[in-house]
Amino acid sequence: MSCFGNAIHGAFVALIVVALADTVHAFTIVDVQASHMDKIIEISANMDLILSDDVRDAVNGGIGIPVVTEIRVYRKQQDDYFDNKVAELKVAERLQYVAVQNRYTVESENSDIAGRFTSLESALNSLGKPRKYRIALSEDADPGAMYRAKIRVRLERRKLPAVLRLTALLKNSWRLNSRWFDFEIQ
Amino acid sequence: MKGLFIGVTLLVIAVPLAGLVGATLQYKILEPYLEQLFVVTFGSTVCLGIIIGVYTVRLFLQWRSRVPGTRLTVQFLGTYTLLTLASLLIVYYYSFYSLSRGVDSWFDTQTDQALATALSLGNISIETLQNDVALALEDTIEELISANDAQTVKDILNVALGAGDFTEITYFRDIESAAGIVVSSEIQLQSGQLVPTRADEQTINNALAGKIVGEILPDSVDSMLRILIPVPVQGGTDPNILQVLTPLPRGHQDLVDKVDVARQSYENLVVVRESVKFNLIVTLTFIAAVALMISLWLAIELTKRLVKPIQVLSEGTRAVAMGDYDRQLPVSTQNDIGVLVESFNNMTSEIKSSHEQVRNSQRHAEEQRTYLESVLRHLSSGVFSLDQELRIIDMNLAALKILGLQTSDIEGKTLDEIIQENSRLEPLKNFVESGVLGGLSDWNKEVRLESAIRSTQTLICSATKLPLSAANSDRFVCVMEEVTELVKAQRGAAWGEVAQRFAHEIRNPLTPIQLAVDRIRMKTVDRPLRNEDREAVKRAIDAIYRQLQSMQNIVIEFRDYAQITAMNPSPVNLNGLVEETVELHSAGGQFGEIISNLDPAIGTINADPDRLRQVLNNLILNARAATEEILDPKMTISTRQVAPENIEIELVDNGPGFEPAMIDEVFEPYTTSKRKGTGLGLAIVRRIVEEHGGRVFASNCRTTGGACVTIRLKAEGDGEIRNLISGHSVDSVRNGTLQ
Repeated sequence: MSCFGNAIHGAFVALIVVALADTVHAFTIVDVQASHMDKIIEISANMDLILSDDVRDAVNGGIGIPVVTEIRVYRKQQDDYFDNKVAELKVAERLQYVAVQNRYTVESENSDIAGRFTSLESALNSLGKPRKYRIALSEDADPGAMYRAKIRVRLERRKLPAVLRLTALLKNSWRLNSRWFDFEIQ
Repeated sequence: MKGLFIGVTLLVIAVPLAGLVGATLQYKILEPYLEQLFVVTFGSTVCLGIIIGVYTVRLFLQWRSRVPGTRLTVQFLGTYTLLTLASLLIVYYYSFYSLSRGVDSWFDTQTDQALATALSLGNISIETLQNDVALALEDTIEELISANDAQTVKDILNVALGAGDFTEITYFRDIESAAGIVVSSEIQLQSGQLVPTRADEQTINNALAGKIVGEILPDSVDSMLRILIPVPVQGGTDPNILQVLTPLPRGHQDLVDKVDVARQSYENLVVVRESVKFNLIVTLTFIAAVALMISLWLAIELTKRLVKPIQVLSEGTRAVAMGDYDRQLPVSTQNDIGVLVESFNNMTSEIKSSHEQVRNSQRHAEEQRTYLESVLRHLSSGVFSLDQELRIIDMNLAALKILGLQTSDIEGKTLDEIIQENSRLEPLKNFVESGVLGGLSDWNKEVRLESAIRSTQTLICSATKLPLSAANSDRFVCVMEEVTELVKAQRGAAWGEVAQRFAHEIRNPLTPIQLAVDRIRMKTVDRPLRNEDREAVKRAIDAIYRQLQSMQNIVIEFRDYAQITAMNPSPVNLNGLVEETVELHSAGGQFGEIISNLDPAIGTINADPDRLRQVLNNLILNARAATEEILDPKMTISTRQVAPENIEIELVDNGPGFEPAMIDEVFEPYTTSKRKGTGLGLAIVRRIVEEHGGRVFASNCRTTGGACVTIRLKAEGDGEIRNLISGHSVDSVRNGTLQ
């Protein structure tokens, strides 16, 4: 059911997105630095995150906004088309406003790290500031292989409250995705 | 099969739509599939829309091509669509309005105020606690203002710590400066902590502004309250800060949390209010759209089923209109349309039967008409019909031939219009007009058609008014009989009879006169008479004799004209006969110049050579008399084959020619322009030619202007020689019984 659902979802959403609306690139990957050492790839990304008015209103109203950073690592082949995906990392975070404390919090779903901020801008800056992502390659990875990777950051609509998901599906202002940022790993 | 397809399609549309409605209404089991349900519902709705669109386009094309039944389908579907759309729009508007009002009603002002008040109460409670703590530490603050070293401060803080329900007291001196001092009491640090926690910048700034500031420590295990109390500095600008951590009263935190959760939930609802409305409206729109399209689709299928028999009926009607009476339509339903189809089949059978009867009658009438046409065509009499306006309706071939007209000359024309191009037919028009205008039902008359270029025709015309026709107007039929030749023959016969009587009567006294004159001559000649008497008697007797001789010649001519001797036909070499006659007249220079132009292809004909010779003699003598006053008289005699069955002999002179007014009557007896002559020469010629079954024509030569006489005879000469002259048979002539 899940596979079938994902397939249908992927196909039709792609169709609807292409047919009905332009994707809003309010999230941008500004700069990426990457290094490869001892089967560990370290990636540091600097992102610029800007919220649309609708999303900003939702955050200020106390709605938690899920933000996902996705990284895919490929081992390079002769042709880019045949590159093998060797690792993938998803970092899910949630931006939320706590009214009693009058604070914006950023919580990572992968860890318990939480940041508390007095303004939304500082919280977004914190989300977008350069941070290091460590990706471990498999033990049998070829040490001499060349790698490339791509990264993007997006608002995870499927993790929004159910009542907002249809709105997010149909309204451009909720379509906050960065483009894939491709880069070589030295 | 089609029903199964419709059922499955409706199921494919209805199930995801129901799921979408459930997900929108936040059924937990359906919520995770909200997007998928939306997409499938959207896709199936689009597919249904495409099906309806394709049918609509097809229906439009059929409507333009005027396919039978399409107009009815369009009318039915149009009406149904309007009714459905109107009712659906009313329901949609009402639902839309109710949903919007319903969602808005969730958010009333009282709930908002209650939550705000509860939050304010919590804040007031914290402020009260802050103030209580500040009041309890009033002495400590006084001591801290005057304390100079860190140890003294530390001792003061420890005393204060022991005096109240505090877990930590920290004194921040000159906090904004890098050289600032932090002194803390014997604190009970949180696990893992090495130094006292420090408030954030905003909180510190508020304290530096002289306000007592309190905040609940996030993630604290025992719901700690951090209070920042400004401590004035003697001579300084910014106060120092005394930070106190004190546990919140038991249950206070729970209440605050509950209020916070409630308010948070409410705030969430406020934020998502528009989304809730949006979701419900989208779902409602989907339901309305799908309902409309399903309704339309079912209406289309229903209309197809209803209109199909009508289409069949229409095609059948068209087939019958095209003459296909064998078409029997299938009776697929037992309802009113089925009864109609049965009636149609019965009607078709009846029409077929009637049509066959009509066709038989038509065939019979056609045969009758063809027979009548054939009779008219082969009738030697001319027949034509015309209406009250004298417009020709029909004219048979004989009539066209008699009048010298073509079919194109009479089509749709009145007699007046025809006469504009053929003025010689005016007597005929006068004849018809006299009867039509006079209101006669039957009338007849002999009509003579005269023309400068054609011979005069004599017609016996008889006209009759027909009974009222279908056009409810009078029609007339006119029958013509050309009697030109008959009249000529009758006239010739009459003349012949006159001549015969004349000759008979004049011959009787002539003979005794001649005998008497002979006796006088005998008695007086060679007798002694006075010379003068003798000469006078002699001249008188000579004059009598000459006159008698002249009378005798006249009698001979009349006898030749009137007395028919038996024909003695035999093969005759026509060219030889012509040459012989020409030679006879050329001898002695009797005539100026006679040119023979003979066609060597002409062989022998069956004719009486003596009579043909008489014809040629008469014609040559006529030509000689006509050219007496011409200095260089010439005559050309030619023979030619004009058709396989005819030959012609043509004699042309260079005399003055025939007078145009007399050209039709030159062959009539006693018609002559000569001072001497009986006027019977050409009449005898015509009689002999007609006895040979030929025709003779007179005209004036276009080149010489002289007379031109053309004789047309049968080539083989075995044609029937005219035996009937003046009503007497050849047998009677041969038997010498002709008187």
